[in-house]
Amino acid sequence: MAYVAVKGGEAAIGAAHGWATEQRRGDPALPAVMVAQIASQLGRAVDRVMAEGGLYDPVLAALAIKQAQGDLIEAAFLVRAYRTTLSRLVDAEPVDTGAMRPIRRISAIFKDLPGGQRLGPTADYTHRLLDFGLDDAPPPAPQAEISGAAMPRVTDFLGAEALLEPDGGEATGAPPTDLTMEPFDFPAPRDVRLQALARGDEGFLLALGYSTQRGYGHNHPFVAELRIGEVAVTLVPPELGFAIEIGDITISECQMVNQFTGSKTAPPQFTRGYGLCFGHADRKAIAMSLVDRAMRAAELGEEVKAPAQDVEFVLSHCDNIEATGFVEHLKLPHHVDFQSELETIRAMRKEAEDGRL
Amino acid sequence: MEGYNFAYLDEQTKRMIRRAILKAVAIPGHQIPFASREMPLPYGWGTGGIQLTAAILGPEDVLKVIDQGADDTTNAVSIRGFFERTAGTATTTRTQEASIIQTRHRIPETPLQAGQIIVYQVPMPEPLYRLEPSRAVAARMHAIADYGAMHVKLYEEITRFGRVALSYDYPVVANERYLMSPSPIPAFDNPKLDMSPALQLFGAGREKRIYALPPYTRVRSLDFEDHPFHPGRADAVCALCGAADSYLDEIISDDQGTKMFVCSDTDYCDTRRGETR
Amino acid sequence: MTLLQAQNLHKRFANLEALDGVSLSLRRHEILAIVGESGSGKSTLLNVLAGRASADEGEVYYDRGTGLAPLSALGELELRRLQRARWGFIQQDPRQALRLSITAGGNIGERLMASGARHYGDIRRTAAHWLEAVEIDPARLDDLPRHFSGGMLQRLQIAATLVTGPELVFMDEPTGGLDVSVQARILDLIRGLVRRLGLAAVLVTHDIGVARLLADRIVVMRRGRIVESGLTDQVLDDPHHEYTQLLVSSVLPT
Repeated sequence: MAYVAVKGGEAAIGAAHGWATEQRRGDPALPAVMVAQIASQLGRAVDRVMAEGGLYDPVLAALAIKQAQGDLIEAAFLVRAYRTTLSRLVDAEPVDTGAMRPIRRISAIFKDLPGGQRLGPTADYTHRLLDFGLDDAPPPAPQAEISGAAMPRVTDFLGAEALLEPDGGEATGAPPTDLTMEPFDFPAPRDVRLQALARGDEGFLLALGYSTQRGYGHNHPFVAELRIGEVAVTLVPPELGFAIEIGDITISECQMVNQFTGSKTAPPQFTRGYGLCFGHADRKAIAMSLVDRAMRAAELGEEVKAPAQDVEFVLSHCDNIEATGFVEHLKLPHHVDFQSELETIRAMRKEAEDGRL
Repeated sequence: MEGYNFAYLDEQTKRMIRRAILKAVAIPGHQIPFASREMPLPYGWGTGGIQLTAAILGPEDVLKVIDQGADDTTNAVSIRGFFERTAGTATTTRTQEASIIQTRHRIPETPLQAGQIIVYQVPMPEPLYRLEPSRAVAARMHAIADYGAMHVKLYEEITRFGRVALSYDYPVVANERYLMSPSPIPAFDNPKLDMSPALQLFGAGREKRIYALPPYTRVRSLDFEDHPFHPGRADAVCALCGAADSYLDEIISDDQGTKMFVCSDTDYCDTRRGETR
Repeated sequence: MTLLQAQNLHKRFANLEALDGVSLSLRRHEILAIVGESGSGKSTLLNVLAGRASADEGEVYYDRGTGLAPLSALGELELRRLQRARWGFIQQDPRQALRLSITAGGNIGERLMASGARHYGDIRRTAAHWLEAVEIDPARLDDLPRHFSGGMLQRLQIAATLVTGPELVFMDEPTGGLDVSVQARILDLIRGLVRRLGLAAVLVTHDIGVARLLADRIVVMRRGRIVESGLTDQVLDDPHHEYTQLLVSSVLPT
């Protein structure tokens, strides 16, 4: 039969999308999952998509999760693509995490402290036993409303005795770089590094943070404070000239206290690692603070040997949208380049054989 | 498309990209960093090329999009569809009719003309990346034209294999100064880069770099005097149109592994056969 | 004719004066040894002279053929070109200077290729010739240095450095990491090559014996300063400064 060149790529794509849509709907006898249900009941997934999408909007994140059929990296990609189209009106003022009334606030370095150890809504200390009756569970009893009080920072106690390096040591007064609007170069300053980590893949940061604990750039970490709760977002509209609050967001902040440094002239002080991200995300905030501290190795005069300390390595690979795009692009046709390889290897083998004859 | 600017990107972003293009054209082969935007297609799937095309596309343009030389491969279909939706510009499969050609991994067989722009999708803009993974170090090497390591790599391949084994993304020197990746086109296509009357733009979205070759730029593939650059192709003719001078795709046509070869450039093949669409 | 000159070099690391007002000069075809114990600043001085580090104060001058000119006035591109071809730098640890997964021929050819050599056959022939010159069997041209002994690696580094015919070579403890028996042969090799090629060289060593064997002139460093300088034999046979006397007297007689 004569060869007919393959056509119909367009039709194939259309059919593939149709099938995916059908698969996403699942069993038509079951009610469709609503965006509001995802936003309300799968909060940790929503928080992760907001963090990695770089956009605070729980409803949008929930929609992305539904559209992505639960694939959270795909959902973050949808959020990012949407984010690109939004107008940049004005930059907000720095969020004051000290003014937070945390629903969760713990410190690993003091047994008790002003404000107390507040566990908040956490799965910590639960027994990881699958609850097979979860679908039929009766509505949970409403918990007593805790009045969140503002709590002093643990790091301020250490700072008062000058035991901890001051915060923002390299602050130059210049506005922070927005890494989504300007290309950055290496060495990258701390504001760029923290931005990249805040929207970086949780799994990647988790693994790198873990690696530091296992000896690849160990920096003796202690969680001075993990606080989670709402903070106000304020901005100064140019037309008004004074600050207004436009709403609240939930964030997680981890202050890590690390290996102290000092010299003959400078008395030893603990050093810091910092983690901050959208939503309720213990793991991400803690991992981020470990990696932040590891990337400060060169600045603190430590030997740079481990992957987590290599700023270019961490920042080039922490964005899972970039990573998944490139990893998955291997599915695209590469037959032209492969053809060149085939011709080359055939020619080399032939030359080798001719040489042997 | 409701609520989106012409060709999707806002005008500020287009201006930013065009400024980068101007810098790139001023220094042939030199990589210009730019603040690549997230696009509705994934990184690694052509976002650099798409941003370049979106920044230069106008309502009067005629756009051709190819992947592996063909207009009908899945990603080319997807990208062409994107611009049809967001810009409504005319599209074509005919190389000669296009004012802008966006391409992945091939240069059309039909010679380009003055006034045409070809936009290459580039996965890895840094030609030194396999030798030096750090971009910061590679940037210094470019700054002082320290390309010894690349020549050593070619020397080693000749020593090991009797010939240079690189067959695609074969490094070139632009305007006698910058070492450049021509994107993963087969070595067969490298000669087409040299002294082309068209403007050639290269976009890497994920790596956030743009570079360019203005028309009539000297582009030379790296080689040794006694081991000159050799653009390879299958020793066969196209089974459909009989061309002996075009780059061929190898098709396995039955379970016994019977091979046949067909032009990779579908427009070239169709034109030779008198089939225009 | 002065080829290289340093004037009043100062360099500080944190609280330490690594170079504290160092001046010296080097003539064409002359070999100068910088001796001192570790911490004296001799390696820092070598790196500043070779343009691999910069001084906080003071200047290094080099004559490219049109008279002495300050290194700081050269752009980085010009300096790198100089370092790539007309200068050479031999490091104590050849593993730092060589590419262990590149063939011996590729290692030797690299400086040639970086300077524009484009004929594979010629590069190969030149590399083979240099293997012979450093007493490595030229049949090893296509071998990977990964399996070479320490002595062979150092010979390879020497070949890879001298292949471009530099007029000035810097050496940092060139036999430092080697067995005593191997050291003697490498030193002999260096002495022969330097004489035959008419090189100028600045050589850092903690070993007085090496200085005596190779160098025309010597400077003695202590805590960032030159405490004594002069013709090698004169300084070593009749040291004036008490530190030099200490250094000389602490050498075991061979």
